[in-house]
Amino acid sequence: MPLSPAELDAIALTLALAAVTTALLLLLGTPLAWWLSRQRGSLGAFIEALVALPLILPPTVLGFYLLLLLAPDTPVGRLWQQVTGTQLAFSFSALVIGSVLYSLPFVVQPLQAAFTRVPAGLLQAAATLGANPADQFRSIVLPLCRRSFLVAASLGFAHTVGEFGVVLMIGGNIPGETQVLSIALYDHVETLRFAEAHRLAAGLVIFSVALLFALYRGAGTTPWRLRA
Amino acid sequence: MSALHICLDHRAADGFRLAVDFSLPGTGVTALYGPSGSGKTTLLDCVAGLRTVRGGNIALGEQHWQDARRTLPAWQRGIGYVFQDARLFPHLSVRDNLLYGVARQPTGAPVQFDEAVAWLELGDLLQRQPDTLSAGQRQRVAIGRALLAAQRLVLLDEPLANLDYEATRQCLRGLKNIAGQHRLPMLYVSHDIEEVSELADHIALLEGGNLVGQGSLIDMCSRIDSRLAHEEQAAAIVSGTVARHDHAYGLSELGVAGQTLWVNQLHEDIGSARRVRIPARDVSLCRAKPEGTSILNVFRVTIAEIEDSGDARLLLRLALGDQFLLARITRKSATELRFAVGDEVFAQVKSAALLMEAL
Amino acid sequence: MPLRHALLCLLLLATPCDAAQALRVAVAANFRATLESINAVYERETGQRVVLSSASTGVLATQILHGAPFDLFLSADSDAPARLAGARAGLREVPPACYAVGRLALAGGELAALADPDNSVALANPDTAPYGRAAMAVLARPEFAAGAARKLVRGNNTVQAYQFFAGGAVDLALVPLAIAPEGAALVPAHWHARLEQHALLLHDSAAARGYLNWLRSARVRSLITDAGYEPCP
Repeated sequence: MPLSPAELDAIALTLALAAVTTALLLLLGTPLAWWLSRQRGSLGAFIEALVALPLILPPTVLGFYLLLLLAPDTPVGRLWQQVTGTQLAFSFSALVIGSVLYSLPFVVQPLQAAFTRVPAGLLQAAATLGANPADQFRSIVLPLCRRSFLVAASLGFAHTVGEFGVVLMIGGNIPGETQVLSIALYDHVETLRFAEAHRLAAGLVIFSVALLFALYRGAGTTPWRLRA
Repeated sequence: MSALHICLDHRAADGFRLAVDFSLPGTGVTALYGPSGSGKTTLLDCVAGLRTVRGGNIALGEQHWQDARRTLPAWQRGIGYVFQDARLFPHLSVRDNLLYGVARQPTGAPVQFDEAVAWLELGDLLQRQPDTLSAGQRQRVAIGRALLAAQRLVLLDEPLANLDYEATRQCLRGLKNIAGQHRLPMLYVSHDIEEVSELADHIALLEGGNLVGQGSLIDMCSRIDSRLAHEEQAAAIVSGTVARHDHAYGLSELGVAGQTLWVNQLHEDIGSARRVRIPARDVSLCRAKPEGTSILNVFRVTIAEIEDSGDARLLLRLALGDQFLLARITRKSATELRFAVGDEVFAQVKSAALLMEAL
Repeated sequence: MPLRHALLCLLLLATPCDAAQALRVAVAANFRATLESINAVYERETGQRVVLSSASTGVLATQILHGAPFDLFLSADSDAPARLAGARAGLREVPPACYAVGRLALAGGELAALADPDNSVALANPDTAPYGRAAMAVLARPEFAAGAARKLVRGNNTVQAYQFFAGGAVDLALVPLAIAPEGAALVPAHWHARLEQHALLLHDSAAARGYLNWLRSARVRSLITDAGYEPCP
């Protein structure tokens, strides 16, 4: 039986959300992870704890506080309304904001770990060879951490695809606008339509396993090794 | 070329104080010599710009690398730096490692790629990845990479410290090739006097964070008041001219101040200059010219100085023309033979190590 | 860069379809299945598209309080609409109205089975779900006192309580008649407080009023009754 239009909508929406979220996460997470990897003080540890918060907070709780933050009668919500002319809460943009926050540790932590493993000595060597810090990052750190970027992007993407609590809370489960795959699946379960639920769940599982399998199989094929 | 001025006064967190104010020649190889913990690497890192010490002043000729107003970052200093651990970039081939600095040079380089590859014997390694190289090969690549990147100065931080004998010889051969070209001044940190003797023209002695002397290597090695003369491996360096090859015995004859020094056969042309390192403990003295000795090299010398520090052994400085030898003999022998300054004696030289071509 | 193109395509795909004329209804999860079948009829007859968003009543009420763009709210109880109407001035004009009355049923056995302490019972969380409170009232009846030592399993909502039973994890489940399997024992209505489900108009429009009126028409009442609810008084 073919997928219903609503299900197709949910799948397209989910992929778009995950893609936009992943792109933003890489953009924001890379400098944050770099900064964290060079921090030894308590400020760094504090920010690290904040980044890890979504791992601990129940998603619906995080979603609730995000809703309180982004609602139309809050400063953030009002500012957004003034700048864009549209409401922030229960919009695709709100889903992106929620997903970025919620998947942040999944991107920042692998990157931070990889950045920490890049020996400072290599960057010193690059500096003495005429590379400024941006050049050092581009020519040394990026290629050495290529796999971790792949891991971070995949985890961020997969985690966004699978998220539920946050998007349910700040998205409002609106078909075609904020109803992503996991929520469509939840609706099927809630209405006891298990056949449809199984089908969506199977798709989600196959997709996730394929993505993660590709990721972990790639782990053995690093073209170089870091020497101690 | 321009001299390197260094003025630093820095107290580290552990209480160590580095306080120096001196200029080094802007040509040839200058060794920064001293025991570990004397501040050599800190000094080198400050020159490189890898470490900034407050209130320091560093300039190469007219260009200020660090003064009260600003510090020029490492990547703008036009240097090459050879680290103790090669620090090759693991994701780049040997060729790309060598070219890393070349691509980032604002102007043409003093050393061309093919030259560096030839001097350091890297031709067969260019396509390899760093993790397939031996330690010695890696260090030669690192030397080449720094050399190719350098516009004004090459810095070397004990580049041979972690290498075995064979790798050390190979690296030294490459470094000698480079030094012999006189394209770039080099600042070479080491605590190994033999290594320094092989390469350096000039030597600066560091001890406990202070400069305790500097001068030409030949002068410093034979000065009885320098700290070098009191080390176990104290040795004088003399220079000579290739006079004759004796193919039958596999030896060559060097002329040193009108006398003859036999060394293992050389391949240089007659008339080319060589330096020879003669350890103080391998020189013995006779009142009369020894007869029937197996030792080939016997020089007529004049005792220029005697240092008696009350130990069982004495150190003597011997004039050989306008050059000097050092000899370490027992006080008992010196007393019985009544050696005194101005005496003409015969020095038997048990061993002589050939060094790089003299300047 | 092909990735960028792909991203762009996805974005275009995901831009909200023209939902301007569609009526947006927030419905408590337990009523969703029933409402979907009712809406199929409505859409066929009027051409008015109705888009459903469902979650638990509590979540929906929170979202509405913070500006969720729904036209109509079909709650699983009468409290949430009343509270919302009290909290937001704009919502008071049309008072909440009953659209269905829920009935409780026991899945897994006769009512007498509740007197057996060996039977575990699933129910919705009585702190948040009216059906859970109703189930507690039933269990507290003197005729079931013998079963007081029974094991109670609380689901987040009625659907989860039913899922415990359907999965075989519990022996019995006190759930809405609407989702109970065939052969479930109907619990007498007077054993618990009346389970009135109220609707609240959030965004006044002709379409919304028309839909609300239709929901309370005789025709729909019979559909609701078929689904396991009783008509409102």
